[in-house]
Amino acid sequence: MSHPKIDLKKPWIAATLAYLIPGAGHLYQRRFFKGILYFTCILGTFYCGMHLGNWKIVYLRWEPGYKTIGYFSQVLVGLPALPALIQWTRYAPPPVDHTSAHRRNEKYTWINKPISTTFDGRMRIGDDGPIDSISGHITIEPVKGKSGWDVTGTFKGLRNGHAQTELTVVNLIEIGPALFASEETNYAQLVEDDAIIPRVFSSNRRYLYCRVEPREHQESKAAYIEGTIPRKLRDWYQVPLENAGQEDLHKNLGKLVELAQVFTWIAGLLNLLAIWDALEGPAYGYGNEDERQNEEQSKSKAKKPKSKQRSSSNVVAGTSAKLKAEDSVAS
Amino acid sequence: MPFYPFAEASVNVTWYLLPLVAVISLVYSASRYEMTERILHRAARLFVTILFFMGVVFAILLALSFNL
Repeated sequence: MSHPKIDLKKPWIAATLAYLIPGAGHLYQRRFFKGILYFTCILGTFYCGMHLGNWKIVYLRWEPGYKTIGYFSQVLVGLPALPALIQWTRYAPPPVDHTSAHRRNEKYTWINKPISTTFDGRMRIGDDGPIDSISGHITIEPVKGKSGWDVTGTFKGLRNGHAQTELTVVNLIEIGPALFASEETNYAQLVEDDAIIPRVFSSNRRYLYCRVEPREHQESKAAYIEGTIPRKLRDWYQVPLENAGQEDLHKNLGKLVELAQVFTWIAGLLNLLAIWDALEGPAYGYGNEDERQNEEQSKSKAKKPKSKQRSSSNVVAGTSAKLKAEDSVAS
Repeated sequence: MPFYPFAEASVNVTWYLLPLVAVISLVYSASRYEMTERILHRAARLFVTILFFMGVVFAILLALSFNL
């Protein structure tokens, strides 16, 4: 049904656009003020919530004991919340039995495709050597060995910020999962004996621990590097958040986590109003109905005195006719 | 190391409700009417009304929790 004063064009197209991008349906209907208002308010609320929750608020997790029901409100915002659906399908299905309860949290010892990226971390030559900081570029790739697949590669960079270092990666001991929302990236291996290891979580960094051989040393001595490599946005954004990541989020943000969720839920629910507006037009009307009523009332008021005059003149005419009739009867 | 700007800012959570109420008022009013002036006028009224009722609830809770 098209609103009498507003051209809703093709309402279903407008409603679909309004769902995908808040305000887009109204822009399609050339209702620019509303389009901009919805776009700014709804997306502003949604992304404000995302930012408040450190971009780990919108995701879909649907497994026994943990269901993100709030996502059904968040997804009403449209495209901004839809990546969570894709990430949910990309993410490994939940473990069923208790023995593999933390399967997804485990780090891997292999990779299935080459990685060439920056690396930041630590290095130790020998089992009791000093621990140095290193940063540079690492390249690792899977190669087929005699007893199966191995991982080899090279590292080129600076040790302690100034010494050029070249290393050969001979074994990949641990690497964090490629797809993960909030990974624990503590440097737990290369630490001093009495050091306290703080728990560090990161979305955009991926843990890496390798055995390497320094090229400058003539005799091959066991050396290790431990650190992080970047994780791409598409591999952590709106990926289901594991329990440990949630605990870290609550620990760091406190009440803001709930507030952030409320922001994103409300944004979705508000977009429902916008979608309905694009489909059916404004619920109460154009907005000038009162003015029209006032105009009509004032018009009718303006007409009333005439009718009164007419009626009074009629009364006068009636009385004069009566008087005339009485006079004629008397005569 | 992750960066948590809002957590570090330590702003009282209640202040975040003001923009939220403003947005709710604007979007709700916009879905009721088409005229810009009407939308803004009704949104302003709704904003004040919501804040008033929130204030009443706040006052009641404050009174109930007095000396607790």
